[in-house]
Amino acid sequence: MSASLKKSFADVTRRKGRTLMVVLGIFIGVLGLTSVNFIQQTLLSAFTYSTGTAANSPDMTLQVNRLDPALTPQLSAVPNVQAVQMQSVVASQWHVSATPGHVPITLVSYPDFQHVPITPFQLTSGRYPGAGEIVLEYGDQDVQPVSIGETVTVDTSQTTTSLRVVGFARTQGLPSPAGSGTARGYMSEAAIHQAFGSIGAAPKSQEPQVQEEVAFKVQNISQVTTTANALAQTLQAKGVTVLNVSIHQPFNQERINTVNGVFTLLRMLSILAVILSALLILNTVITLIAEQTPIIGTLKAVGGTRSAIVRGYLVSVGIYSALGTLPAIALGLLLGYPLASSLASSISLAMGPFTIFPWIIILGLAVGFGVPLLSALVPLWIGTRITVREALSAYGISAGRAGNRRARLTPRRTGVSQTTWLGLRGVFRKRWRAALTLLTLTLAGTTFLVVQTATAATNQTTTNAFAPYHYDVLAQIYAQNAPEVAQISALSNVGRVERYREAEGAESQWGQMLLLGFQPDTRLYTPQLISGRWLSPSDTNSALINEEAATATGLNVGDTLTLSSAQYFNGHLTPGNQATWTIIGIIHQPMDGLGQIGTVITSVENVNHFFGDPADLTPELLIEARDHSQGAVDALTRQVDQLVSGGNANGGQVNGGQVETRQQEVQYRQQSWLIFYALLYSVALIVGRWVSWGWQTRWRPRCWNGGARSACCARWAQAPFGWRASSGSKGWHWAASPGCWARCWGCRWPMGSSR
Amino acid sequence: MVQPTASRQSAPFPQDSPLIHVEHLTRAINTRAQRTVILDDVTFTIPAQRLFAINGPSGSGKSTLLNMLTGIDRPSSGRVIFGAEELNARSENALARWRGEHVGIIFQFFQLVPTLTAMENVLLALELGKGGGLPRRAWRERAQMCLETAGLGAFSHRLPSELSGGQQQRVAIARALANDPPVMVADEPTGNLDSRTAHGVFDTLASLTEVGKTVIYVTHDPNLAARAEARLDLLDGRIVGQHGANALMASSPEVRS
Repeated sequence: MSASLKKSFADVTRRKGRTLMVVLGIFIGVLGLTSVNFIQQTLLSAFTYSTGTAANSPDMTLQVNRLDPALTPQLSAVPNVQAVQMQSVVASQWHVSATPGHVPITLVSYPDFQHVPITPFQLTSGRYPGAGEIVLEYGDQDVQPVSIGETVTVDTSQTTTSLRVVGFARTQGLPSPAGSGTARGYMSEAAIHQAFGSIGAAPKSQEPQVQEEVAFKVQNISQVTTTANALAQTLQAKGVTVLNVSIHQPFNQERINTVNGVFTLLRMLSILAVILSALLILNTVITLIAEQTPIIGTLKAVGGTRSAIVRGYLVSVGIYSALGTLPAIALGLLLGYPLASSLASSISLAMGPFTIFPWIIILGLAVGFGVPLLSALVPLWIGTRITVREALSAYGISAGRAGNRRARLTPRRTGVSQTTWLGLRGVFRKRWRAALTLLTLTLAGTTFLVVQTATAATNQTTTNAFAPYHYDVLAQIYAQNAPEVAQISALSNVGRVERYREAEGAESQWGQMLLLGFQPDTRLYTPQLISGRWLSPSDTNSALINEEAATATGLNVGDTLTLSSAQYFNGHLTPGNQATWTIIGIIHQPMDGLGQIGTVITSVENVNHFFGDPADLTPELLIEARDHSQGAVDALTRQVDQLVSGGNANGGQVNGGQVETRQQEVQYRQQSWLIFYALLYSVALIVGRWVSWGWQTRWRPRCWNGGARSACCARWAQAPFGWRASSGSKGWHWAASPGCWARCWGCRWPMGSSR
Repeated sequence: MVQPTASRQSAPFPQDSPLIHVEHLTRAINTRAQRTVILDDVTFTIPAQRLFAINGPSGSGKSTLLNMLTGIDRPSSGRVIFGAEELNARSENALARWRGEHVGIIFQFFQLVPTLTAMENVLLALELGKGGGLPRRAWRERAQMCLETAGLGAFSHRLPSELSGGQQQRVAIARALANDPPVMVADEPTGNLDSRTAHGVFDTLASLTEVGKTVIYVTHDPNLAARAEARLDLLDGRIVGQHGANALMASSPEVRS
């Protein structure tokens, strides 16, 4: 290593604290930028993938009474059919150690594991399953840590079955189980029928436990209904009964637009972090130059040209950049993928495999290296302009600024102490530096306030969204006349049970809306009416809308609202259920999610009817405990979970099974923003710490040393900093003004979906 | 003490030939309050391969004069001619390059890079001065030789903070020797050292004339000044005395006594 390179490294390593902060500043900026770009690009790719012809997810699924692989060629020959896949599916419950003790798991088998044209999967380890064996989706390990060779337990229609894990698979386009809450496993056809049977044996159920399905991918999604009819006729002609037709809804375009808003915010903050990093690099280089002025003079004296000296310091900045940028890019990509998976699952978007986008890396490198180097160039060029004499002479006569008017305003005349005067002069001596410092502090303060108000607003919005709810436990049932409902009502700690339904996918002419279904006589939900009235048992086609929906649609009490369960496919509206409801009230019901323009509140029966379900279907239950203490609610949750999962295990018709407390639901929703919070707070924290640190070190060391060398006490030497710190507070004060914007914006930001 | 090889740079300047001409040099500092004349119309010649002292009390302008000789400072009027080249005509960068090749500077406060070892300090000077024409692979050997010349061969891997003041000044001498310049310039080279160490360092410096170097040093110590082969005495920016190398002095355009 050459001596100049060694010096460059030494300049970096000599002050470890400073280096750490500089590197962290670059790291945070590049990390934020890279991860945000990566997430957005990944979601964009997933969007393109999901809507493109190469997408492998099914467009529709026909549930049939039996599978006949021999029919595949005939089904493939039906017009508009692109691909056909036969599959056996079981919705079951996986015993896990985490509360409430079960996780929904979808078990799937294919006639030929080697040929799966729709929703293909690939083994990442192990082998294909045989009898009594299962291959788990790779992400299932996030739900419950499990290894090959271990046994997992799932509930069947009759009993509990243990299956040995023989491999892990990766399924293209499958949302992460950690995010979706549903695990996935693959079994052989023989094994799945042996374990679960084709038709439920329990007397309570006539539904097949193993659902035989034929999945289709079509060429033209706008003709999917016609194709479905043609396929049903073909199957019935061959003696296969079609039990149900499901047309899969694509992802919610509106949600990705809303998510884009979040990305814009994150990108802005990342860019802000980069700008602040640039300012802080500027600060560091100025400090470095000030510290090393005599060294610069010496280097010039022994033959160093200005460009050679600048080059040496740029190498130091390059080292800072490399230390901050390279890990940031790597981590940004690594963190971005799970975050993108989480976001994708929340907006019903199928994620593709992990892909690295070169432009993101190039941009990260350009920003991580370019911004610090460019920001260092100016102070370096100016700083190294100093002559050898100026750099080395610590005494003697010089043509300085002594004698100007400001200097003549001596402490003696103004009555200000010498040390205070020194501090004041330090603030105003270099106007551009003072302005830059105030700008930095203002930006840092703005960042801090933006983050603080944004996070507080989202948390508060979630809390507010749940404020009208008074239940303790929420149980998903999705069953008609399920005995579990009566059993739950009979539990000793249950005070009240109400039917409830929350559903997405209601399309209005203004955009998608969230549907909430309550019992008209609900006591577990306190409507906060703004105008109109609440539901009455005699209402049939009536609904309330929340403030956001009223604002977005312009509708008022007495108007009608038409909703459709249909979706737009490539610009074409596909058929679905429609409902026209009269608005009887406007309600205050905050929203805490993404992608919805508002909330529509009606009866459970209306929501069931809208989605084509029986009116007496019990989708979900709101359960109020008599004893609201944490322990009692936890115990009740476990009891409800046992009843709900027992409904599955004992042949009941319960299709849901997720049971959670209100607190868990609130936490889950708040935690869905945790990664954003972590990123935002990291930016603010690093920048804030950096700036405060910058204050302490940018002071000219020669001045400081001068004070110390004068044998004055340390207090004397440090007193001037007090004035500088006070000017720093101006920056934070000024930051309050743009911060107001953040507060206003933060309150409105979560305008999206869910509740 | 190991002596450096004959200087490549020294060859064009035989002993006692006029190396540096200073003609009517004046340096004044203008402030709003007053005009201070530091050097007032100074003219003299420095002979090659001699130990040359600039002597005077504090404030006499000797350090300023030395800075003019090395291009570190620029005169208000007059000129400095090194060999056949006038320094004033050069830009800052050109002067830096010129210093790297032609002048080795030794400072009163050593001015070593604190994060580099003695060897690396010398190597840094070699890098900046392009190695005095040596190929890069020979630089380390050259640096070691310079350190040995300065009497510090055994301490090459020590940081400046691990060396005494005298040892640090020897590193500075080695650094000045690195690019094999014909002229060594020292500003109060022993001013920051105790008398015993000072004599040792000065002996090392003085011995460099034996290998063809011209050594110019500034001192206010009459004893050290007396050891010079030629000397200039300054007072209040004017030459008040000159000793030795009479023939050369006589050849100068103008001598002020």
